[in-house]
Amino acid sequence: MNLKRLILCVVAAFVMATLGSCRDQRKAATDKKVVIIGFDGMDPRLCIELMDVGRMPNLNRMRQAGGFKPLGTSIPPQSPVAWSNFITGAGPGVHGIFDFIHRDPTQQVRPYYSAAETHESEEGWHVGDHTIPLTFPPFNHNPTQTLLRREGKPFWDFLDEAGIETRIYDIPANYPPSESKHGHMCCLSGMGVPDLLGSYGTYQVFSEGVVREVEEGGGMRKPLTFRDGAADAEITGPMNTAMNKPRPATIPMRIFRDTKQDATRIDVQDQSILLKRGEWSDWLQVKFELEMPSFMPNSHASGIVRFYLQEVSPTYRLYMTPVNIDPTDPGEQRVSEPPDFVATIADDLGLFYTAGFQEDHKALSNEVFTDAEYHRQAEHVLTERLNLLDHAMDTYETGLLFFYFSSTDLQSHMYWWRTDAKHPTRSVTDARRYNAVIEKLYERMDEVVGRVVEEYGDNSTILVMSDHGFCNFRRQFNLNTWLRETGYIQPRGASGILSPSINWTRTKAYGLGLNGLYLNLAGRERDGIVTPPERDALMDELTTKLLAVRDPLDNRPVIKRVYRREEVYQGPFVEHAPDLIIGYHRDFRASWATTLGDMADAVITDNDSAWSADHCIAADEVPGVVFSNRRIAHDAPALIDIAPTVLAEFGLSVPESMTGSNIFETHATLAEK
Amino acid sequence: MATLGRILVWLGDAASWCGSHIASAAAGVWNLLSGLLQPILSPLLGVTNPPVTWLADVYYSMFDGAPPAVGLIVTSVLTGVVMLIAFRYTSNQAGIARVKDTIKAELLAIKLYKDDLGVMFRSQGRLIGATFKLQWYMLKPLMIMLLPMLLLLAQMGSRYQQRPLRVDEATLVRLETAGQDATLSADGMIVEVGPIAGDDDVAWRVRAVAVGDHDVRVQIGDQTVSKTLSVGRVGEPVSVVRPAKRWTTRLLHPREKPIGESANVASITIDYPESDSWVYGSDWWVLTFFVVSMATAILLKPVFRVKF
Ligand SMILES: [Zn+2]
Repeated sequence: MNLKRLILCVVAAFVMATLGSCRDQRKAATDKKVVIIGFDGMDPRLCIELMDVGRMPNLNRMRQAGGFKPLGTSIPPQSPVAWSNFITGAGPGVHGIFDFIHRDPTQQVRPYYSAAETHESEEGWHVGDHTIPLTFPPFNHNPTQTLLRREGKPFWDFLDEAGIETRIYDIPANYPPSESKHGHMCCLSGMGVPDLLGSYGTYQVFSEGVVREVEEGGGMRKPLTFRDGAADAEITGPMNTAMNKPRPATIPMRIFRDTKQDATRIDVQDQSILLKRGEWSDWLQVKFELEMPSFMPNSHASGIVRFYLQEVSPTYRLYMTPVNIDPTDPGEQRVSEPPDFVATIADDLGLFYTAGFQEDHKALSNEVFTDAEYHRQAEHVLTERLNLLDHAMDTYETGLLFFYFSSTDLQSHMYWWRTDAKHPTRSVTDARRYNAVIEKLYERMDEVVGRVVEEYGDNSTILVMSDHGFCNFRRQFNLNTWLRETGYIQPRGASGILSPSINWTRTKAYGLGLNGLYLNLAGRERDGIVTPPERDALMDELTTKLLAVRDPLDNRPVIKRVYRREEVYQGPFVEHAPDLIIGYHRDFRASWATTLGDMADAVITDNDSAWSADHCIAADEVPGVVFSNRRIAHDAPALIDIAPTVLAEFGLSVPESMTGSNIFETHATLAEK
Repeated sequence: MATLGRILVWLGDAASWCGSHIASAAAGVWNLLSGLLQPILSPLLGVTNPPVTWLADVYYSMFDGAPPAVGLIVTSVLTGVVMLIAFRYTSNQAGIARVKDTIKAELLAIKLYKDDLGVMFRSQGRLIGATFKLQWYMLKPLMIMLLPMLLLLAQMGSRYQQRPLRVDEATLVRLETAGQDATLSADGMIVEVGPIAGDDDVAWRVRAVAVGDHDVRVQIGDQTVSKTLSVGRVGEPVSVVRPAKRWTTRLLHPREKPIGESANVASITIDYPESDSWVYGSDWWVLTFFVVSMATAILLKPVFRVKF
């Protein structure tokens, strides 16, 4: 044992004694191993197609041994909803996540992100230009906190209670991570983790030809002016909320350009980076200083960024990734449980993306990236995750290992195009070429499965699963426009449900989120007019009309199913659900405008975005997959069945809060029990 | 609350105003001092650095093959012992003993006469005086040990602060020069991009391709200046900067011969990666060194009958 180990052990012993951490050396409660690989959005139809021609041999081996079924997804099939089904072993009525976006009816339709909410601290102490939160005694005000909104008990809590070691990497819908009460669970949060700016990813592009700083959904463009080959710029950091007029902390940056060498030099905080055109830098740590009143020390926030030199001349363009939370120094940002779990990973692996959305799809949608550039950036993400998987496998001994890949979802959204119809942004050949990227990606994911099987194969249970499938997204349905045309939204000149142009005293229903349709219900919505006795009839009427909607282009039906919340949800939170959930046919989805309550002129329009595939449609059209190295006996397994299966594998009984059942048992044997 | 806030802000502003003035004054004093010391220390270090480096290399050859922490711990322990002995012979031991007795006596007086304010104040005064005197007695040995200590720390720093490059790893070579065109060449590495001038220096990005100590050559006009680049020799010392005539750079980076005056170059720097280890990694080694050497000195104080 070297001295480094010795000191590490002493320190670790302290941490353990006080916190009860993961590196607990107590004898493991079980020798059992269960490994789950979660591929977001892996589609059963494409899997079958590729397995049939021998392109996914490892998964095919499982299929041949009876270990493959489509996996029923959530209603609606959106990732936060679906993964919450997985986590709690129950539906949205139990975990309370019904859509990406929810609304507060007491403020009529104020929208908010469903997965997490930020509670502002109580009024602090005004000192000069600042307001200091009084989080210390005797005031003990609550600090500004982000809280997980997902309700229900995650399945790993039961494992934790039973002393079963649990390692979870990049799980969606678990930010901030739930606490491990017994110290047997370590979790790195995935989808839902913000960047250091508090957004779901804000790239910064430093560019000539930009007149003034512009913010565009998902990024900022900042102007550069070169004098004698050098330009000054600022990296925008987190908001300094201690200021009376909050403004972001910034870091100055000097940029030098060398047109002869087609290269640049970036000087920031005593660090220099030299890049040629087309090159990516490594991760760089940047420290933001958040100014406090003069009698207090300033506070700091540490972030990490990578630069990508897109062009030197004629128009200089430098892309910078969103400022990710520094995994070696997350500060007050809790991205893992225990909070230092992320730092122990970074000690081994170096810096890596910590934000929930890592593939910068917004840069592609906003035409900052070309298709090829997005592909390269997505490859960086995948490479980092594969390294993380190596680390996870190296440190895993027994118990549960869960590992998540976002690549299969966020590359599919941009590249999936399984039709000969015209792609929104690509030529026919390019659409084919990039669709092939997805097939290649599936092959690589199959290799990952091969490695896992080789490592743990015979003496463990392996599950490979996805939360939903995929399909093309060619046409967008403007739900609120349709409601206006059919008279449910008034007046005819209304331009959006968040706009003052809407008349709530005459509006009967509105759409919000990707699949939600709400009635303007008296006693619930602030300005509700639909009385409870009218509710049923109105829902019938809406359902009939929605199912009859046809695309004027080719007369195809648009909506396959309209679910009533009472029929599809059970549990304490059903009241928060939309009244109707719309399940579109393949090729269709809610329009971009609909998600935030906006309206377009026409009811059905072409999707014009590079985001050209989706899954937020009728649940039975986009099931996910489940593969196992054991026979799956269940006739129609669904996401809610995975958690009960895991508990059963460890010999634990399935709690009442879970509505799913063990997929390794048939319904008949379950009924006997 | 609001008034308190205003007072605190006012005090804070005043303190930071004073702080910044004190800092700039200190910087001025340092510049002056450094300028005065330049003609003495720069040539002196030019003479002492080669033999000290040679000695350090001979000494460290004992630890060849051992983990870096071993050399660090042994060196720290030995330094503790040497400091103790040196202190014994360079300090006024009798004087220190007297002052310590005074301190004990006055502490006792304060305890005994805690109701007598007169005695209290007199004792307090004497106590403060004695403490200052003790500091004063410490000053002389400290001054004597300062230079050897700095030389030692510089040698240790070249071993523990950074590590050599790994094959396939990239880094920057920086040249501080008065703005002529420069070209870079070397074996064992490829120049990927550069030179690109920043505000203070000119930089190249290089990538290591072969293990060994390579010569990086910078051509400026008709002059060639070289610098060592170490690749892949874990535990070997690295020389981050090849200094020119500035004495501070010579002190901190003793391993390479200073650059001649005619070259018009202030320094050549290679941004080696920081070592990552809790014991000997960047900055940790200084902590380990001080803790271990002080602990050694305190433990062995009775053995060598030293008072401090
Ligand atoms: Zn998706």
